[in-house]
Amino acid sequence: MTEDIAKSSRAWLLNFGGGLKAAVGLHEMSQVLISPTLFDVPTMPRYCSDVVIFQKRILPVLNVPNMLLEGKKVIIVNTKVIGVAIYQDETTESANYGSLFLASMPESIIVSDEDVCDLPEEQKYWEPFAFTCFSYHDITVPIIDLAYLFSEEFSAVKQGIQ
Amino acid sequence: MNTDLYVLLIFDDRYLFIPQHEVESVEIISDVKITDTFEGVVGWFFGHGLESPVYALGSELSLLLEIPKKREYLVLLKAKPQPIGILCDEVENMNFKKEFLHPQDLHVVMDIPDTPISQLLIYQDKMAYICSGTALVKYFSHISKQFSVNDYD
Repeated sequence: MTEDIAKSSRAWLLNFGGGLKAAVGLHEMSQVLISPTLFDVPTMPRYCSDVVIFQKRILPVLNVPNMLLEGKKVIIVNTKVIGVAIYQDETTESANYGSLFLASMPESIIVSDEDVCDLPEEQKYWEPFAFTCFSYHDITVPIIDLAYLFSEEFSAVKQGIQ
Repeated sequence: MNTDLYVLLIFDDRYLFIPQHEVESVEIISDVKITDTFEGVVGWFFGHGLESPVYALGSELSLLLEIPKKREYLVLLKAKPQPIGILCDEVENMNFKKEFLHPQDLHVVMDIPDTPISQLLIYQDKMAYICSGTALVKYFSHISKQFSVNDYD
C-alpha cells in the first residue's frame, strides 16, 4: 500500500512593500544588507534607479512595487533592507547577482505541495515570472523566477521594445 | 588609440567620464556666447571654424534652463556636423589603467535605450557614469526635442 506524501521545501518569503509578497528558493537569497550606501543612477526608470555595492559588484536594486504597479505611487515604509539575490543565467549558466528593496527582513517558511493554488485575478501582474502559487496564512504568494525578473528579456518588455 | 584615457566632467556633484578620443577640446566658459535658451541650448561656442551648441546638464542629466554659477569649463564632443559642448564645474584627464579603475557594464535591467550611460564606476567613493561621446550626442538630440515640445505645452 502506497501513501501520498506531500513534498515540502524551505523558501524565503519576501515583502516588497505596497502589499506585494513573493517567495524564492532558499538558495536564491545570497545575503541581506541593512542600511547599505545606495547610489542613484540618473536617466533610469524609477523601478531600477539605484545601485548598491556588493562584493565589489555594482548591483541594480529593483523596486518591485514600482515595477509591477505602474502608474500607482508606492511608498516603501522601510527601504533600509536590501535582499541580494543570486540566480542562474539560462544561456550562460553562470551565477549572477541582483538586489531588491525589501520592506522587512525575509522570512524563512516551509512550502508544501498541499498549499498550491491558482494565481488570483487581482495579482495577474506576477504572471510573467511566477512558477506557481501557494496559500500562506490566508494570502496567495507566488514563487517567482528571479532569473526572468533580472533578465534582458523582461527589461525589454518593460521598455516596450518587444 | 589608448582606450584607457578618459575625460572626467564634474558638475552638480556628478562624475561623468567620456573617452578622450571622443573629445574635441576643453575650453573655458568665458569663450561661450550665452544666449536665450532654445531647445535646451544655453549658448554657442565659435571655434574650430564652426558654431557649436552648448548644453548645461543638471544632476539628473536633464537640460538646465540657466547656467549654474559653478560652471567654468566647456567640453566639446566630436560630432557631425558640428561639435557639441557640455558645461561643467571641473574637468580632468584620467588614465583608468594607471589609476587602477575598473568600470563595470550596466546590469541588463538598466541597459535601456534612453540612457547614454553604458558603464558604472566607483570613483573617490562616489558613483561615476561612463558615457560614449556618440551616446551623449544622441541623448542630447533626444532630450532637446522633448525640451522644445515641453516648451510649447
